[in-house]
Amino acid sequence: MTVRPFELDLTLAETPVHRWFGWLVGLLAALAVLALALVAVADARLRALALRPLVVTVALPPEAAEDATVLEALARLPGVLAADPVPEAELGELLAVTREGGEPALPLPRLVDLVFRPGVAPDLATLRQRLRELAPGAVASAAAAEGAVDGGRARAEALRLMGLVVLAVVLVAAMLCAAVMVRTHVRLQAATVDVLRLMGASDRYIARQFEQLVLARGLVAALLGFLAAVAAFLLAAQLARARWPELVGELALRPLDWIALAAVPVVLVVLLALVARLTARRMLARPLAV
Amino acid sequence: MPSETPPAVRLVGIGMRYGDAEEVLRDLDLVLEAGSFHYLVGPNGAGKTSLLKLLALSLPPARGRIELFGEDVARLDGEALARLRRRIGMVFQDFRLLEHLDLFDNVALPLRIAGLDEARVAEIVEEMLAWSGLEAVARRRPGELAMGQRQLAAIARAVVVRPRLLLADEPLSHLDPDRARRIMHLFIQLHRLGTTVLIATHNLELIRRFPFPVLELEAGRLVRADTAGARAAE
Repeated sequence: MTVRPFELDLTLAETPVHRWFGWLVGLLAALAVLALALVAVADARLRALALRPLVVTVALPPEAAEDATVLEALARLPGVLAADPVPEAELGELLAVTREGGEPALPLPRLVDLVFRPGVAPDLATLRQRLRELAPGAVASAAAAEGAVDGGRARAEALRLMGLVVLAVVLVAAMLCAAVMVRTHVRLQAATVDVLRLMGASDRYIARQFEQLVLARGLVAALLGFLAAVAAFLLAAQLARARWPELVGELALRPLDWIALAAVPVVLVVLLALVARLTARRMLARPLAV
Repeated sequence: MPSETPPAVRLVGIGMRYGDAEEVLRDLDLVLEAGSFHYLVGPNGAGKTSLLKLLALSLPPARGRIELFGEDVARLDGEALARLRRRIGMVFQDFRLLEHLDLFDNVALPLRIAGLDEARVAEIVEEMLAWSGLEAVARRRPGELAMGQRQLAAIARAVVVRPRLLLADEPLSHLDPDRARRIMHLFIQLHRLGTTVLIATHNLELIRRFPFPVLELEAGRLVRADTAGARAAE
């Protein structure tokens, strides 16, 4: 029995269009993988920010700070993990520049750090109300902590959005490329298509040839693009860790992220094959110039 | 008494032109009974090739109606048209083999399109290539072969599906006398098995040696239709 090698009926592999199509699919797959990796890194950053406990610093009048019941009451506030008084030595260092070598003229307030549970956003209005009841004259300020967290979150969300936009643009560009490639091929192959039709090939059969071309050539190119993108990502992560060691955890993708990245070339090629089939069917529905 | 089997071909009021040019077929009415055998003759430019392309559903008519095996082709959708084309074998004057495929795959093409499994395809094609003396060049591409071998391959591709209508445009023009005789015997054998055969030719010697009814075209009009199996459409 003759074993038939995998071969398409159309001369698709021999047209110039095919050559750039492979490169383009590889490049777009790499960009899509990198864009999704960016989204994954941004997600990791957002998760890390969500897990970071928020600290609200409370300034207590000295007499209230001496009262252990006040500290206990602060520690029992909803969402509070701990109420840690800032050590006097630390406070002294903070205020050293304002003392000009002498003792302060006025009694200094005592600072207490209220550490909230990760993911808990403190309700400052309620907190201030409780402070007024517990220690009249106490002041609570979370502006610095909130600002830092919000700034980090905003950057991560912007990064995430950028990744998603790039991913969407790459997918649309890839689909456009497939459509243009198939349109060009159908025109170049008009004589072959005519022979196939005369042999009794339906438009569905002929369209499947284009779909197979995209699947066969596109999958190889997309996998190569995936490998190149993964290598680029790992290299970039390595460099980033060396430069910003605090990012180590956030640049380590979870298994689920890797699965999503690995799915990119497959999803991309399936999309391209679908576009190829639909474009070919639309083209074949019109009269071809043979 | 009318036959129960519909004619293989019925053309009614056919006109055909390429673009805006003058009509190459004019007011053509023709019926070919199923299983008939005809030669199609006429001077160059008479419309022989155009008529064959029309019957192969390669080109549409400008006007008129084409019925093949009792089906009005204008009423068929794409899938039905494809199924109908699978019952037609066409030998083109310029062969129209696919240059990127070897002879084996060229001959196998209609069988694969018809959906036969690969083992059956291999069996039929190998038998066909052996019969036509092309087995030694089965893995060569058309461009590497002599004209006669290409013509044989084109004939093999047309008959490999045992078509119900065989259309051949000068099918013996590049063959030596012995090969031409063998191919004619093949066509006659197919005709005896029920295939309707229409061969366009200038070769009067062929018609003399293998006498069958003749259709004659002149300037796009049918000027002679021998009655055995052919008649003007009613």
